[in-house]
Amino acid sequence: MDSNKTRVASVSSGKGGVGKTFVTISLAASFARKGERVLAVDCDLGLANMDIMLGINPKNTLKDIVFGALPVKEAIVHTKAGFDLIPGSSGIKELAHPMYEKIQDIKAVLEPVFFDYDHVLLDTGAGISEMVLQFNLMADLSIVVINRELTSLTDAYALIKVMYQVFGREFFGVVVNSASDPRDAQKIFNQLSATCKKFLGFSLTYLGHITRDEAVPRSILSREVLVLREPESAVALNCTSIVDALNVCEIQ
Amino acid sequence: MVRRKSSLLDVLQKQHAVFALRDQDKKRRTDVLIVVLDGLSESEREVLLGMSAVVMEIHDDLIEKIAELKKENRQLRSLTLTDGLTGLYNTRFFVMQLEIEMARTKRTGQPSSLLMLDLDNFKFLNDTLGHVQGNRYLVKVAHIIRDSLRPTDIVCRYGGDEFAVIMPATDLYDAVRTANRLREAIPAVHLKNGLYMSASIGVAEYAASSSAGPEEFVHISDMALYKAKKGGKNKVFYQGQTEKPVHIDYVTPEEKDSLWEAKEKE
Repeated sequence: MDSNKTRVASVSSGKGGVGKTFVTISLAASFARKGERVLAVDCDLGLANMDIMLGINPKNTLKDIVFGALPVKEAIVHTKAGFDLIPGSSGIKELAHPMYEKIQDIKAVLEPVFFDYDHVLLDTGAGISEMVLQFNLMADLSIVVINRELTSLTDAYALIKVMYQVFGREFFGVVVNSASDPRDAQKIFNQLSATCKKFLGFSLTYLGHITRDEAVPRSILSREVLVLREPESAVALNCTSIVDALNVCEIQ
Repeated sequence: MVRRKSSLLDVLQKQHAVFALRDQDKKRRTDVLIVVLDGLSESEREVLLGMSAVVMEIHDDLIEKIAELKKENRQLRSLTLTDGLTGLYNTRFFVMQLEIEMARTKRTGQPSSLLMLDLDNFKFLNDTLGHVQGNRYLVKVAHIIRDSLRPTDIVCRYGGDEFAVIMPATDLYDAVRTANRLREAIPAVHLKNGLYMSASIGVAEYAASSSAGPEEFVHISDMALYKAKKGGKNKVFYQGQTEKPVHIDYVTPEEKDSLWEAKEKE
């Protein structure tokens, strides 16, 4: 793929514990399975956990890039799942709540390596902090992960509303995680999308759902990438169709 | 005669000689007046007897003791460090403790943080529901604030509907996180005309390298609070937050209804 066609997507959820990092890893691995070059960035600097989920103990993290002047490429980890990762760092408070200028520095440092990839996925932290908003802004597409909990819907809506009110963003893709069935997922999505249409004036784009499966928490515990270990599982097929939907809406 | 009576009493009171005991409610006639005094001349004694039930003559040392007691009482009152309504620390304590924490920061190098919390639309609640309801809400909020924080955080009632929290050994990041949690913990009460009762919070950090004094520290968090208010209320703003205050509506009850509609029907 042409280097100037890198697609940058952020993955956010508003509420924590919705499965943002799981979704990021699964989508990154699904893109990689299709032979695309993928970079995942763990931007959750307060409580980074992508490295933990992948069973990696990184030597360098985003912290070393930002504060230690480490060249970005030296922090990139080539994962067994077939995609590259820039790990975040936990408990670095200067990074967890950086001021606006610092966020701009982080963006400026990261951006050049993006061009080496077809897809970049930015796993933002939970909440709607300046950091989360800025990484959403950095992405061409904001992916919002929700589940069937009312708090998840509310927080996702808050994130969308703030992105719209502060930056004027009106295009969001939604992934419904741990859905009991496709109809349930569609219903949850419709609720969020209809509310956005009614109060903000735009609808959302449905990217797909991920079926609730006991194998998911098991795979997280054993630090394996489910879509690779069980490529024929419902979850893996779900992820493939989300990735296809992403490719479609990124072309638009 | 009346004039003479009051002027004599005034003089005696100024000398802290009369401890008794006129009715506080000036509308009612004083029935019993007890004068405690020493070194009375015969004529003074007679005048006093004419207007009081008892004139007690006592020795100097008792008067001194009573005067001491009065002084001690005043000191005790000034040592009262809690706010009567909410039971939180009062401003006097706040000022003392803030200096102590700032000194601790200088000594240990650990930053301390300060939250200033102000209730949104509280005046409206007071005006529409009355002061009794207003006070009840204040007490409720005071308890929520205290219960939401660590035992080491010092929660003070700073003014009518303003609260201050000193957070020892806490940096800006943790303070902002706590402030956000606190903001969410305070229940939004729907008032009339679409107005909601909520809380705005300003946060500032005092670092060991800072040259600010206590007033400036308070001022910085007050400015952040002001920005939070101006930025649309029900918000947390921190010192040095550089983006312009933008108007952000958090999810309104109408929007929540819309989001939750179908789910609740299930």
